[in-house]
Amino acid sequence: MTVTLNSIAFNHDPTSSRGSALNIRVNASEPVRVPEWTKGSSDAFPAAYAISDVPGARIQVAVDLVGTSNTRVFVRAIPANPFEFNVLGATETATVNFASNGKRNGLRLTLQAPALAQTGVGAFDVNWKWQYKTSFAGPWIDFEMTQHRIYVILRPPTLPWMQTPFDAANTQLPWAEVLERACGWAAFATTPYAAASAITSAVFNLGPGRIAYDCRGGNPTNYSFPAFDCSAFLERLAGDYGRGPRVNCTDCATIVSTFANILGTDLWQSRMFNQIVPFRCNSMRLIGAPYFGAVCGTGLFNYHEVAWEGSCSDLDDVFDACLEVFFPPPPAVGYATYVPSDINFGWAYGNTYRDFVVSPESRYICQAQPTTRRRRYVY
Amino acid sequence: MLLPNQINALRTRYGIDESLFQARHQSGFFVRRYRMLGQEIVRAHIKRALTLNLPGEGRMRKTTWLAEDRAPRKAPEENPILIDSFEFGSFAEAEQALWNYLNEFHVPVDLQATREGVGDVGLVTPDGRTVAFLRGNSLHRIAQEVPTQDLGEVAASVDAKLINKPDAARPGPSLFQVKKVEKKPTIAARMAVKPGDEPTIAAQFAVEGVNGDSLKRARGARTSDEVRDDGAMLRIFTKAGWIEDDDGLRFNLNAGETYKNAEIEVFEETADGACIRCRRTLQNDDWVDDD
Repeated sequence: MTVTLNSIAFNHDPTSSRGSALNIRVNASEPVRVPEWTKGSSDAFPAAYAISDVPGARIQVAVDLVGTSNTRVFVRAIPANPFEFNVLGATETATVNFASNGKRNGLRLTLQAPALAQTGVGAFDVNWKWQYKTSFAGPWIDFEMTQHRIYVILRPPTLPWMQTPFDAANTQLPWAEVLERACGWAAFATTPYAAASAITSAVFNLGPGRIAYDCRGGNPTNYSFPAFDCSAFLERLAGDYGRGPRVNCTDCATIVSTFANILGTDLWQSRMFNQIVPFRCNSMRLIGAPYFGAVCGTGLFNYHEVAWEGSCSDLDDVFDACLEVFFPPPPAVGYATYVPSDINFGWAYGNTYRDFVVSPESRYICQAQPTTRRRRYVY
Repeated sequence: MLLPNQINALRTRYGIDESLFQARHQSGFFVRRYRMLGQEIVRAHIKRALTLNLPGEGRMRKTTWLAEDRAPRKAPEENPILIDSFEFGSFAEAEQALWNYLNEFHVPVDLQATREGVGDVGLVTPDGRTVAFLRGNSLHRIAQEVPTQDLGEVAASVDAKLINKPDAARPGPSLFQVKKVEKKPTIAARMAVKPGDEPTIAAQFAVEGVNGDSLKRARGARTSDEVRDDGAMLRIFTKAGWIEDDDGLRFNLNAGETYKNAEIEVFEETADGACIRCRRTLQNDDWVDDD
């Protein structure tokens, strides 16, 4: 009696993320193949689950098995190492009746007690030991070991990420390479805004090693004009050149919102400015800069762009990975520093984001510009 | 994305005189269809090429180059020249993209015009690390982290390659003689097309009534290489020109002056040259079959 595992599909139902994994791809050029694991293939493709889809759902994986024709066995998968955390846990035991050709395709195995809802955001390795037995009271026999990369996010990703159509041409399906970074940066976050805040801090801390603000030449947008060259940014994170170290606020806002939205937050890239004149800023430390000071010597921004929630108005919260400011804001004397995240844009002298970034004399002229809000296409 | 009047604000901010665009506007109605296909820059390596269809910004083809014949992946400490070439469907879209790009400078900077002859319009930052120039329907951005070469020279080289390409279309002929037209527009035929279709289309233009003079009829036939239907707007991109129809037919020629009085016939041409759909007329905003 032999049993062979041919494949495992986590995303066995692309039309629904309840009970099945999300629709994802590897990066801009490589789609994820379903089933994600196939026998003989050197690499397994990753899978992702949204915590919001877990309650009340029976999460299943679909497997293809081959065994002795016209026989019946019991099959299950259990954590390969009982002392190692396994976010998917074990599957329930399933009864398998092999057909006359010895195959049983599309067998659904339900996860017994996945820990998805308890972990928060994360990227996890799952090692499964596959076992079968021929009778109810018989001993379990090991027949396969499999390894998987599982991403756990808070909610289904929001734009620019899409869930449909699930085909190789749709480059806006969530990228596993972005999930890998975002899940690492926002590990264990359990709310969208905690995740966005963690990503904001992580992006700011990429400076000066990976990316940095550079005042020379007006510092035009480098990674996100007119759309987000996420592939180049990932190359940069991986230690290649990408598009170089230079970033500005638009790049930072795009990185934060795109990486946060893949975890299920709902942020935009939006601007504040005055249409007539540049506005003056407080002393701050721009991303990658060694110290606080007047922005680029002049203390002026033509505009500023941040990751912004809701309608991107005065009432909504912002996340800004481009700079670090003093706390409390001028005219008080700052005694601490702060990378602004999950803070209301607010009104002048309301002790909110506007006050932290904009100098007292410009606070009334720097205005939120909700009509500029957008979510840049990712490529 | 620019707010209303923001182009004027950018003109003021960067001290850009309209005369900078004058030669471009005088070049007339037809757009040279420049395409960056991959052989233009000697020794350059294409890092990424893709077509983007961005809401509100139209469809563009973006090619990013490394102007060196070395490995596509570079270490962080290297200092390659990056060339981004954006190819748009029309002259106007490319110009809009330049304004959009000028709106991406985070801190104030004094942009300067590039040397004479680089692009229709060209701008360079004072530190010489970024050059942007327009040529016909294309926008090019050239940047180097630490300028070890004169990027103006690189831009001139890219531009020269572009305009000397054998497939760069030539401007159209006599249609530009039209100065003023007064009738309401009539569009005699319209194609049934879908976005992204690339049928072969012959577009025949007839513009009449020049400044109240006796009828002067100018005709030019072009073969389209792309048709787009952007919602209410039909755009037929010919090899050397464009037409558009929203609430009326508009020809933007000669320094941006808008001409609203024209007549146009568009018909679909089969492979053997026969006309398979002709004579549809716009009457009170309704298309009427006239064949």
